[in-house]
Amino acid sequence: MNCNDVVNNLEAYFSEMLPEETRKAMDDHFSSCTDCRTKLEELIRLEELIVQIPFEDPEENLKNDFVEYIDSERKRIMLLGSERFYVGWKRILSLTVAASILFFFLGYFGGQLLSKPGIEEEQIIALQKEVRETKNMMILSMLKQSSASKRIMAVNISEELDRLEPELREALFLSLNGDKSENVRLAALEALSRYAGVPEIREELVKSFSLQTDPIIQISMINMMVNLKEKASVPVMEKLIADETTYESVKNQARQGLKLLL
Amino acid sequence: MKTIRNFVCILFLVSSLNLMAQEYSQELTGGSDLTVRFENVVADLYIEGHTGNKLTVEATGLEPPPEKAAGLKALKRTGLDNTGLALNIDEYDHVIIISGGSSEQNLSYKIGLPEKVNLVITNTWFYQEKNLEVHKMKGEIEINRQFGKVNLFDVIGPVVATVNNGELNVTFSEVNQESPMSLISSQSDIDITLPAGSKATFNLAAGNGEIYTDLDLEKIVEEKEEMDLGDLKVYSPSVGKFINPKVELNPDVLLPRYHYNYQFNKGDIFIDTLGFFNRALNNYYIGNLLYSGWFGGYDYKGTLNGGGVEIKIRTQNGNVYLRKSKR
Repeated sequence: MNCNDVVNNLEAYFSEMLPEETRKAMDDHFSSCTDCRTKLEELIRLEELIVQIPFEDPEENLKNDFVEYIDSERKRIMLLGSERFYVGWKRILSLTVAASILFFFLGYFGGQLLSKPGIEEEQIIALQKEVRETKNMMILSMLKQSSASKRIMAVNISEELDRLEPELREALFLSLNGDKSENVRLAALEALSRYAGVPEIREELVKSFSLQTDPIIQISMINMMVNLKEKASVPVMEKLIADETTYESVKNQARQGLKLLL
Repeated sequence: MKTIRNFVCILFLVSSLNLMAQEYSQELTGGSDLTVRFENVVADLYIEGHTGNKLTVEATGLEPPPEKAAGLKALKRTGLDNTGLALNIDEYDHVIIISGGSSEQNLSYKIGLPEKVNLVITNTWFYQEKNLEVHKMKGEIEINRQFGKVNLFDVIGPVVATVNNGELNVTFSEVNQESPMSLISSQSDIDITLPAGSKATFNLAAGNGEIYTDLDLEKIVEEKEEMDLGDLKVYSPSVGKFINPKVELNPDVLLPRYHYNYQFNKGDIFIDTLGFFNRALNNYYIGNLLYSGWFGGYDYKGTLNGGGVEIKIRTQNGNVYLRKSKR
């Protein structure tokens, strides 16, 4: 069983719907493959969290309405059933879906009506989300400005965010690799370095390292890579040292860096 | 005798006419929305702001083109010489672009500009060691040069400048608080003078050099909030505000992904992006706990008069000088 099979069967495994054999094969795989084990653990964790979300009781009369609705539906189905004697599974499925959607909305609005203080909290979360989205948009549009100072400002605002959305990450890398102003490129590097713990970002940073030609950014990159103990940067530094056009001060820094990394 | 005197007079007139021809002037419409961009102008530049709305250029040391070029015009980086001063001046959508100059040794331009316009001056050709002086400009100044001395006097910023080899000296008459400034160099000193009462927040780095100052800077002490993660100590300067003191973190449960990959050490600095959190439980799920010991690597972060606009200064092989203005 390979990783692909495991991933395909993950949901089924998790909901214990697999035949004994497949299940055993997957257990074996998990004990040998860290990646897949991590995926499973994440799924378990997600489930734990979902279970922990408090269930909000709908308001009493809403509940009654809903029960009545279900009753009437049931009667209708019974009637249909008596007529046709057979209710197609699709119909049942669509009813289940309808009921679950309805239940969701009833629960949601009922819950909202019932717990007034809770609304405030939700509003705060919504507001935080809105602020983040607005900031994201602002940053993205500011990065397109012709003023270098405004672009630096945009990069700085991104440092205030508690996470880096993919589009913003892309925009920052675009700045780091292609902005006309070296100052903006340096600011983008500083902002991105805060997220250097995220493997994908770190990988991108190493890639970007090999693209840089400005001495001050090269030096900053070397310092950062040494600080992160990033072994993948070793070939880039070796290349810098071998390159005739590299500034002598950059070469020195790279030599120092290599000593610490190797 | 009279004829000689007349001749001298005429000669004088002609030569003064000749001097007149070394000047160029153009009305500019627009103010702070206007940018004047010097695109690799090969000459010493002296730029001065004034309250009018004219762009004036005065060239000295300009030599006439070779005889063979009679009837032809010099072609510059952005177009034909349309000023008679070996410069092409063109306008595209609120940007005046100036290119040209010549590699003759002593060519220099004195340029007058409305003080409110923004300036962009680039000279990325590594072999051109020309000097730049800017006086009394009140708009944004962006400079990107590989070589040569750069002196800015009586400016207010924002100044965003890279000068890799040469000198970068900036004297502020006041410090514009609107947007951040950044001054960097790989090889040279960076020397800043500003009024003692200015508000600013400095991030300073002088790689292999030193930082000297007579300003009363106050060091920024980064807030650290510590949390107990079993054996791990987690604290974060920027994130304290996101982490609820009530948070319960169990390293085995809550650090799924990065637990395997990273060796955490005591005292490591973690910056979060909180993967997601469950507010109902008052519990945070740290999905993307980040590690970084390198935040731009500044030697000193400090405020002047309680802090203000951010000014980043970084040089690798020079010194940083921060001075009070003497008047």
